[in-house]
Amino acid sequence: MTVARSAGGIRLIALNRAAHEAGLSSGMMLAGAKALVSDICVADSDPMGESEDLIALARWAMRWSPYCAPAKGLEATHALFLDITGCAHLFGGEAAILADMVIKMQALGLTARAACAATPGAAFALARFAPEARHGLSAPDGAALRALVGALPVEALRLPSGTTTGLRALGLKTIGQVATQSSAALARRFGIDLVRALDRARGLEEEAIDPVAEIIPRRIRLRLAEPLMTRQGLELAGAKAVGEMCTLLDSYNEGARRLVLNLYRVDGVVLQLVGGSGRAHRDPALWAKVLCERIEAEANGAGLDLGFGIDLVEICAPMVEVLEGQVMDLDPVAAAALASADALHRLADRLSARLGAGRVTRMEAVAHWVPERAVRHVAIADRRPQMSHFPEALAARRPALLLERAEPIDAIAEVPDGPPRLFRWRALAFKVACAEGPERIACGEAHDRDYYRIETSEGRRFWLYRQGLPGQVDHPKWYVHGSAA
Amino acid sequence: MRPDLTALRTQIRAIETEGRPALSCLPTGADRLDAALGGGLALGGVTEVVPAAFMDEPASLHFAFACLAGALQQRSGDLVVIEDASRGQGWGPAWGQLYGPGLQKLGVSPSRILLVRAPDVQGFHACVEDAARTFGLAGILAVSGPKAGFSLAGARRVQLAAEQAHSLVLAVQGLRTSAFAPARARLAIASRPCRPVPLGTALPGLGPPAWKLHLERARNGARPQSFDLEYDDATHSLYQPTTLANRSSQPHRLSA
Repeated sequence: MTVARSAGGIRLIALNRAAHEAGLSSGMMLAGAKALVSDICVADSDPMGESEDLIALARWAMRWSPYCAPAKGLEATHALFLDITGCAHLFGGEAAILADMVIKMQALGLTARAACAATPGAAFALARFAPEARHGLSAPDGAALRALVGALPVEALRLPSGTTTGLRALGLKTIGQVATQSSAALARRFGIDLVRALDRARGLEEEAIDPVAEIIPRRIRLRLAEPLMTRQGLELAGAKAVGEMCTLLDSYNEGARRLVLNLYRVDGVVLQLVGGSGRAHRDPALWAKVLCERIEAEANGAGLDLGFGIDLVEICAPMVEVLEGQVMDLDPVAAAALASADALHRLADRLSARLGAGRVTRMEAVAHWVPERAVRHVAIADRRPQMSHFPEALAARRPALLLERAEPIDAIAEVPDGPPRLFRWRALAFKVACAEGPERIACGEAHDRDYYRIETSEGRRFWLYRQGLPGQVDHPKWYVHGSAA
Repeated sequence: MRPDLTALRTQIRAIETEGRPALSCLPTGADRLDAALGGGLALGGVTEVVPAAFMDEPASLHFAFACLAGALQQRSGDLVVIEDASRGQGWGPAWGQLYGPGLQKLGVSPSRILLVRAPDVQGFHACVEDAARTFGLAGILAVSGPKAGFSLAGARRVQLAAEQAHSLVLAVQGLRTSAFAPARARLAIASRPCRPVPLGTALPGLGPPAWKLHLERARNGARPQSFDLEYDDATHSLYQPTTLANRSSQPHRLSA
């Protein structure tokens, strides 16, 4: 059960089936609910998370219709609108598509009610309040629809709770009763929104829905007459699909940064292989090579189980960029530079396909004063580093090698705030001959660091720091954080 | 010498050098070292950099980056750093990960570095060979784990790939790594105390980083010898310091 703070106290927002059976209902005060059932377990409601989940569900629901939107506006309308115009016959009619929806949602662990009507307003009212909607309700048009909706309570109108309470106070409990009133009088008393909502619910007025923004990816599907059982066959099919994809991209003047190869196994399992590139291109030979490297890497890692075979090879380009044709450079120096940049890109793509995307990286500078956070490693397949240059004054005092985790050392230093003179690290003793510092880096109370670049009497260079400033901490600790300073 | 042996030697030499471009060199900036190496670091070949002692491993990497800073100045393209990051290997746990600001100080711009971390030794060898075969890179730095080095055949493949693509490959090895047999030269690096900068404080300040380089082996037949080297962070150049110890033996003539 989730709860939220509202006027008058904490109220219940959403409940599970056990709570409903115990007689609790949404909108009830938490104190009242506890009086009814003492051992209830509640969590704070998370409207942001819920709406994100709803959007994710809307994406998933695009299996039935590409035109799919989560309900917006009023709070707690956990509803999806699907425009199934021209889609229903693919699933065997309206009743069949609704039944399919209810079953698939149940498989996800959701309780779904589905209704289909001429307008979104009518469909919403029926889905929420008609008892038949539990199995999917396909409503008729015209007068029959108005009769069906007329029997529903006024809450089905999707209006603020103030309006519905007002209507109930007047004795207007169902949509049918409200509809008998003159619309001019209703508009005067409750505002034009009520009249509009009434028309929408009764199937008289259309309503626009706002589908989830989804970039339709470039997609190629290769249906195979005989399931593929071998890696060689798979590589051939992949190369063919890549070739078609590159032709498709060429017609849109685009290049892909990433290609996803989905392999549909006969038994319904989908294997996914992702190949990335450091720049957008549509060279079929290069893409085929990258995907073959992925197939090989997966096969070596024993992660590619073809089972009883692959009967559908699908290739999608989720990341595309506009790619203008390149002008060939006649200047030999510039052409050579271009060719070498090209060779590097190919090498990087090949290696990241073979080793995994996270293993081929570039460094990105981050404006952060804590040394270990000043550098981020960006996989070349993900994006280009935004900034790779560090401030000169800062770089001048940094070591070439930085330990991932600073290691504690025993050090003898001048009190109160001098550089270390002797220290012991990994069971070896070092005598400090030269030192530069301190460079003070604030990391919060008692974690402030005084960094020293030091050289030992043998000429080995380290980057040490003292944690805790002399005035704040009695016995500051020493750490080694880098070498080759 | 028997004539058939001579003929055989000429035949082998012809096979070895056939179709291979003549090797050129990239000067490091330290004159006597360049002279001993036959002009500098071999282009189209592997130069092996090893530490003289276990604690000198960071110094050997430091020196390798000092050399590559020169390569980046003189050559276009990017630097590919390939690291053997297999379990129980790698420099990360031992001495630390490569750190962008510190490399920038040495003159190796982080924007020109491509980092590759190989998950196992076989992958590492394949990556080094692949990179060595790629045209147009400024340099390749192969950082082996402390134990597992290249096999004889693997090293030979890398060397041939580097010759084809004319690439500059520095192989930084651990102390106990097996030698990279076909390398053009093997340089052992030891830390050396720098010339301190008096700051007026209790401890003097750090001078430019200094190393003692021992040329252990060179294909051009140079005898093993040692060099004192320093690196200037401001101009990004490697040089031989003119200290009192290395002064010429001829006495100075004071002008009247």
